[in-house]
Amino acid sequence: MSPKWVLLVLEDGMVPEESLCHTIGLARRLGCSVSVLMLMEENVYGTPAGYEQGCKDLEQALDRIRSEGLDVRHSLEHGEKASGLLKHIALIPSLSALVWGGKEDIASTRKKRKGDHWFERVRPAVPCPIVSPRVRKTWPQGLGR
Amino acid sequence: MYMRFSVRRKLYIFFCSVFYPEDSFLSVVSGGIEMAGQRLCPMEENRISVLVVDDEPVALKSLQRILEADGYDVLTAANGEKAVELVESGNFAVVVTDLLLDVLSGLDLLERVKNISADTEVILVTGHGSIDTAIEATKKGAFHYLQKPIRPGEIRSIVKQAVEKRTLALRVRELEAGEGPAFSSITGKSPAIAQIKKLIKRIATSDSNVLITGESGTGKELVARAIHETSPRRNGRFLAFNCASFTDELLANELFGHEKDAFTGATRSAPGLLESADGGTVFLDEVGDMPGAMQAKLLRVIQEREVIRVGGTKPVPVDIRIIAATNKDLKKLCEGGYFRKDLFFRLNVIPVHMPNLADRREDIPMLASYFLRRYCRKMNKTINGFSDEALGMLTSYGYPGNIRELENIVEHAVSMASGPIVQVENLPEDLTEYDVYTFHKSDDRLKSLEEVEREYIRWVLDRVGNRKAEAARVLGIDRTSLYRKLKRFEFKE
Repeated sequence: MSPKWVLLVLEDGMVPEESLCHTIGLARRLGCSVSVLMLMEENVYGTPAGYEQGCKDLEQALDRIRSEGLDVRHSLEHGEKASGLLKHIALIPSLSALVWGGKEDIASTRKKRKGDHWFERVRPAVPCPIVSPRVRKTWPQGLGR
Repeated sequence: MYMRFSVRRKLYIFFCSVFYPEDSFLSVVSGGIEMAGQRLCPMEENRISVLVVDDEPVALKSLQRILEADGYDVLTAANGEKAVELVESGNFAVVVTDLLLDVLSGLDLLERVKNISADTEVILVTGHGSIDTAIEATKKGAFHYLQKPIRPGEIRSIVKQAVEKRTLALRVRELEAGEGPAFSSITGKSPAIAQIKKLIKRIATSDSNVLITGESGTGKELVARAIHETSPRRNGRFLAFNCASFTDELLANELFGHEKDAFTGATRSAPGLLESADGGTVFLDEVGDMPGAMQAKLLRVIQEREVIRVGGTKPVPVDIRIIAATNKDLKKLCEGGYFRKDLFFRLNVIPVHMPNLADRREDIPMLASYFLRRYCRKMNKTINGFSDEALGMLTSYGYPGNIRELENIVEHAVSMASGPIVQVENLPEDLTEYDVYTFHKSDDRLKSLEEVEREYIRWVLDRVGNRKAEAARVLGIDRTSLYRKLKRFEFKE
């Protein structure tokens, strides 16, 4: 059986807890492997900003996914983010969901700045549901914080 | 007269307390729901649920024991309000209720139960019976009206009759709707699912190939099975095959079979899947992932209605119907040259599109209850339903993994739940901790105001148990306007 994948898209060395947590939950529920893609922009000197810290955080995230018993593979793309993402998607045969872990909230990106954000240009080419978790502002009754 | 009755009643209670003493099997929650605790014997498949409502704990317990001895799954409630909550979250065949209850009388409860679930039969029990109340109860749809003290044999017989009546009514409705067991696995009452059921019935007699599209986990294989089971080929075999699971060579071997000595290890000839399904239906899942060479071979099978085994030269005629499924956009794959156009047209004779679960949210409570019952049976647990908050969370989530994900969430919740109701904290942590926005591919199409209004009204009606007055209050419109809209949108009760 060819494996199915949940793709976690990260930007510029940052690993948001909500995206990582939801990726793990989703992959477990759907019986998928996890592919983590870190997209990094290069600065004027040709090296990605926050590269070292980014690598360290990514490594921790990968360890956590592995510790949950999930198969994981990762990739680090420097340069233009939209083409980096498209290239990565093309290499995954069966994608079940894309979890957005980028800097901007994709839900508000879509509503307020449609067309401005690089992800909006590639969004129609994503062949699966796109999921954007964010910290809950209101909790259901009984789970107040 | 009153004295005589009172003495009989006390004797009855004494009798019950002697023969059915308190034990650890029953836990009494004061003023609330009384539940059987851990079960001593495993729950059987398809047990019939009966709800007993009485404010006298002893009478309640004795009725529970009598009915449980007959194999029913008995839940109890000490008052009408709790009974309504249970009826809203569960699926009861029969409700046995005392006429005199606090706040909500037995007659009021009868009305509420019939509003929530018209199929549930209600038996009223009273120690203060009068002809007037008996007539009123019958008018309101009660199945029977019993005088206390109840004889065990009498209540057993009446509950049995009520269950039989309900079973017959459900079966008749199923037959009238033309829905047999083939449809039972396609759960949902949304317009989208109703359309699919209609389509399946329409194409049942045809022998054309079918292409089922839809995201992963939307139930494509269930639809393929339903098409097979309603077709004239139902006595033939239904063989499902995942095209993405094999390499080119293995795929050819599995589909077409092989002759002796076709390759190393082929010690004897073996038919392939297409031959084995002769006279039946072949379901090719993930057909969009089929390699190019195999696409050409499959096209030949469809055109010529014959297969040639690997290593063979002699064509073998086959009589099969092909139902293919994919979660990919085959048209786009054709444009990109990844999928043969001629094969696409051959497969796409009757297209069926399975909607995302998020596009038919009104089916989520029903599906969740279905999975809840399934996993309660599997895990030998007694859980009656979901709390409002948990159900609200389940209904509002976006389900990128569709029904498969909902099933998994409910399985998780059942394994975590320790009480009679699934609470929010029993749901997976990543759903309770975070707000999750899901964008399905269909989100690209903007919905009309009417579509949104229709979906929202249906959602509200589901949430309030189809109570029109309550729905109108939530929607902020008067009942007349709601009825007008319901008529316009042709909602079926």
